[in-house]
Amino acid sequence: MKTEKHVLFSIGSQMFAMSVSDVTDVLHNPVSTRIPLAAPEIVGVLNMRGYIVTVLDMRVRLNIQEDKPKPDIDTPMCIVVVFRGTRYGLMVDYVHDVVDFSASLSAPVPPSLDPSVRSMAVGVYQHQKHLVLALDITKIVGISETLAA
Amino acid sequence: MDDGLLQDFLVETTESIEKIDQDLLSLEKDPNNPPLIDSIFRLMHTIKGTCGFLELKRLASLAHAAETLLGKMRDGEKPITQEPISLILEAMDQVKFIIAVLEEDKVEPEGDDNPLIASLDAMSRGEIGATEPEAYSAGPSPEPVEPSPVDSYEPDPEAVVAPETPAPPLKVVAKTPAPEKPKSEAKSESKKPSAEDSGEDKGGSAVDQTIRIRVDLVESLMNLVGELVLTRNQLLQLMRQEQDNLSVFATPLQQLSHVTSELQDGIVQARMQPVGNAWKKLPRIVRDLSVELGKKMDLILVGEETELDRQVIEMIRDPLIHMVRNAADHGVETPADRLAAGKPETGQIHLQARHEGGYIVMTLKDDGRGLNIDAIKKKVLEKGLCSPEKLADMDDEKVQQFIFAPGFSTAATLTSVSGRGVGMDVVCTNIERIGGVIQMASQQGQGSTFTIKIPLTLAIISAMIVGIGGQRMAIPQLGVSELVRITPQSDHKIEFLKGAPVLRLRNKLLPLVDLRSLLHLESDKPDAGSTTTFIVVARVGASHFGMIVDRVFDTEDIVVKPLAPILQNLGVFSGNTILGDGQVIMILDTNGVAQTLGDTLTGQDSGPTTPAVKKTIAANLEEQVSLLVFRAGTKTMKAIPLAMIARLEEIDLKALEYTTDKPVLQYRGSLIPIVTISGDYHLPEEGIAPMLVFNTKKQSVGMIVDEIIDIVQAPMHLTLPSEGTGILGTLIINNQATDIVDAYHHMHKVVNTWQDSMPMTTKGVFSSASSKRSQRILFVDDSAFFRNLLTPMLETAGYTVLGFEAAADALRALKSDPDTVDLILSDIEMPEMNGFAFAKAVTEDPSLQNIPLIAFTAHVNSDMTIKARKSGFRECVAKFDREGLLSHIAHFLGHHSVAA
Repeated sequence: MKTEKHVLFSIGSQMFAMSVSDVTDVLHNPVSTRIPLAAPEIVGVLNMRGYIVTVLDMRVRLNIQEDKPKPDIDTPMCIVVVFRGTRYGLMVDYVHDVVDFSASLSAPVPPSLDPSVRSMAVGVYQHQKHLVLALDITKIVGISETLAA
Repeated sequence: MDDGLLQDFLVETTESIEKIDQDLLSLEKDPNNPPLIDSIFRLMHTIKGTCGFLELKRLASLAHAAETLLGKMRDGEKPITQEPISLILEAMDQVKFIIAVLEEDKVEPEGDDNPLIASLDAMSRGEIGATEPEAYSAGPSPEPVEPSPVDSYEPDPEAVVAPETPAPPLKVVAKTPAPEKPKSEAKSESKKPSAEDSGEDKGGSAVDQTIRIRVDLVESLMNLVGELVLTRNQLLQLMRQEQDNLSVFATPLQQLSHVTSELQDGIVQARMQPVGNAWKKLPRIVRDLSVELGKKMDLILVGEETELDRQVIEMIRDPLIHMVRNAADHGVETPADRLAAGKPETGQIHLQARHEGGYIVMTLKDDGRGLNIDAIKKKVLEKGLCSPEKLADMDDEKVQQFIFAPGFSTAATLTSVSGRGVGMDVVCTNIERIGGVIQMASQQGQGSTFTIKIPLTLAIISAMIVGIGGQRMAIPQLGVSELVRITPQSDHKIEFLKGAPVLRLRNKLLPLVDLRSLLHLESDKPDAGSTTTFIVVARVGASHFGMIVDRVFDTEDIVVKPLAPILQNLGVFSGNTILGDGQVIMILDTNGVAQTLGDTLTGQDSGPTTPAVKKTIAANLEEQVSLLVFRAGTKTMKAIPLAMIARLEEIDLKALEYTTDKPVLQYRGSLIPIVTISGDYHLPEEGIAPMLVFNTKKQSVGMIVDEIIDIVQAPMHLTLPSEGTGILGTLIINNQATDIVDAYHHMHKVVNTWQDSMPMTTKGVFSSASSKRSQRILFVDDSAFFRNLLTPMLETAGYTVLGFEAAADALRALKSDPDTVDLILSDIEMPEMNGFAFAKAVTEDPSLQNIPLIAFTAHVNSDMTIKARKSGFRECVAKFDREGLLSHIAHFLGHHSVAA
């Protein structure tokens, strides 16, 4: 059965997954430079081994109101992806693991989902007892780019 | 002939020929491949063109004949078979031979290609192919031509006969050197004039000395070197901090640093190309122009070998062509004119490049007629780029700068040369886009000089690192002309003109941008007003402006990294970079910053607007106004348009003095009257109170209030008509009813001799007006606020005001009684009939067309001004620009009454 590796992460109590093929790094508690006048979802820019990474706050991007489960213990984590030659950092609460998902086990995205999230989702998987929403990197960053243009 | 040019030609043509060889072979195998034959045709065409340009006659005629045949094949008139292809390959071999000699001797060998050309022509006409089908065909074998075109025509020593031999011509001429030149004959017999041979025999030929590298590979090397430089900087910084502990690293680190620098230089060099590459087309252009325009001129190129980044070369190629065209077309005069002016018949266009610091400076000088100031002025007025009054006050240098204005061209007639719809503004924009600056000096009758200064490379630039509200940013050094330090003790101070910060620098008023408020950054100093700040003076186009920053750290060479696409719309940043300590900082785009100023400068649209905010205002909230909200006397909130307030001060109430029971204050060396919001409001005895300062031309008036609440943006739609005096109306601001205070009313109360406070020009009108009938101004504005605001002001200045809410009504009134009105003042944005339509209607009516029209708008910018002038307005004034409005009115009515 054809499977694809996904990185599993959470924001609030919701689990998300994203294909690892575009992921280059995972950073702990990154320090970034704020960019004046930038959109609220843009946390800032940071230097990762000489690459400039533009950091997006996935909590804002996915419109999640719910706070971090353990704000004092967990520091935010950042998944670095390459999209059309530019590096983006996706700020999430916690990065759990890398798991194999089989595309054939993907359930369709429920139409009742918040439209902004639904536009980025490609499927729903089950992992242990959790439902995991699989996101498409081209949608996450691509839509931001179109919005900015 | 120019050696460099020839060398470039040889390299380029050798490559093209190889490509043609390969493509022809592929074509033979796959004749139904139109893109392939197109590509061959283009290459051949290029060779022909370049040869023609370099006056290489043999090559040019060979290439031409081959091209003609290819053209027939491309158009389907000639079947793509082995014979024509062989013939073309034959021609290519001859081209290769000539090139080989050319490389050695720098001149074409003498000789005759006519037989080959004749064959090509015959083939094009369809003669050879029909009559001698077997002549050059090896038969219908599956692989008719062998890998090397030369091999299929193995030289036959016996066949080397005199070129005059008519048949069979092809083999002979292809291999036969010019018999008249023994030297080349010997040479060409010793080696076959094929590409392989010339390569082998001359190990150091042009082809071997360069290699082609993909640009992206060089780019990625450049990036890596950039990283290396940063890491090196980091290490050096660490070293400096802990010198003792790490001293064993000192020597290797120094070595590393050295190698890194050299590597950086080397890779920058690898991207460098001689600027002559961008100049290649110019001699031809000048030659063609001199023929076309009947002028005699020489193009003198100096410093072609000066190197700069290939990316920059690409960017300046077109602007340069345009400028040289301009110089030839507009600059240099006809021979007769030149002789009459006592100049040599032949004009000179001088293009020079040289290095200067980290920049390349190019000067384009012609000894032509220079810029014609009068012609420019005429054009400026025609195009409505500036008002006649302003233009009259300008010195020549300022007037000349108009050639950089959008859509400007001084050519009296549109020749094929100019008038292509691009002007110097495009040149200017292109040069500024790569961080360059362009300057111009011109003297009528003596010629013009354009100076372009551009960075050598766009990848590494020298930048000033500044601190703004706790953040560091980089400002590219090229745009920075000076740095001014402002301390409480220094002579220079930031002052405010209609709410906009300015600096008086050497008797010039410099508009300032407060970067902290532009970028919405918080202050990092508790008491920012009293400590040192810096003003970075930058040049954009012909004008300067200043940027207020908190600190200046130092200058550094930074590696410019492009912004992520999602950040490219912010308008004020041109990139980002990593500093020596590893932090990422933004690079400010001085042009972008200056653009935010554009509106504040001309439109008096003060207030903390960012580009994004501005867009929304322009889009749907045309009449938004910044208001200062404050409290004074009663509980009701009060507000005054921010643009009317000159300054905000805090004063110690003990400092108040009284003359004839009226409060006054010593302020900036003079005594200013103090007003309060209403008569029954009593000033507290002591304490600190905020004071709003209003300026008239000669005098300031202070208004003491209880508390400044906020600055807000609100649409000027008054919700209640005013009742009490001194109030224009009421607005809902932040869900609270707020009185809009009529500042002029309060100023009028205290400035007894109002005339004295009027601008001089207005005063003149005032007195002359009072002696005759008072002059009438028709005033159209759909906003009650502005009618209420301006009517008393204009009346105070001595005019009679006829106010109209709708332009249609005003037009009717005008037409019924055209003589009653001396001047028309009109808003632009109005429902139904807008200001432009109104102005058109007025100017089209013969009985009304002499009445001066002034447009009156919230947003003055060049587009608006041009549009207004086209519609018939004589002037365009910003709302709230009271001084400007009064002086324009005075100007027109002054002239008007003299004329009447």
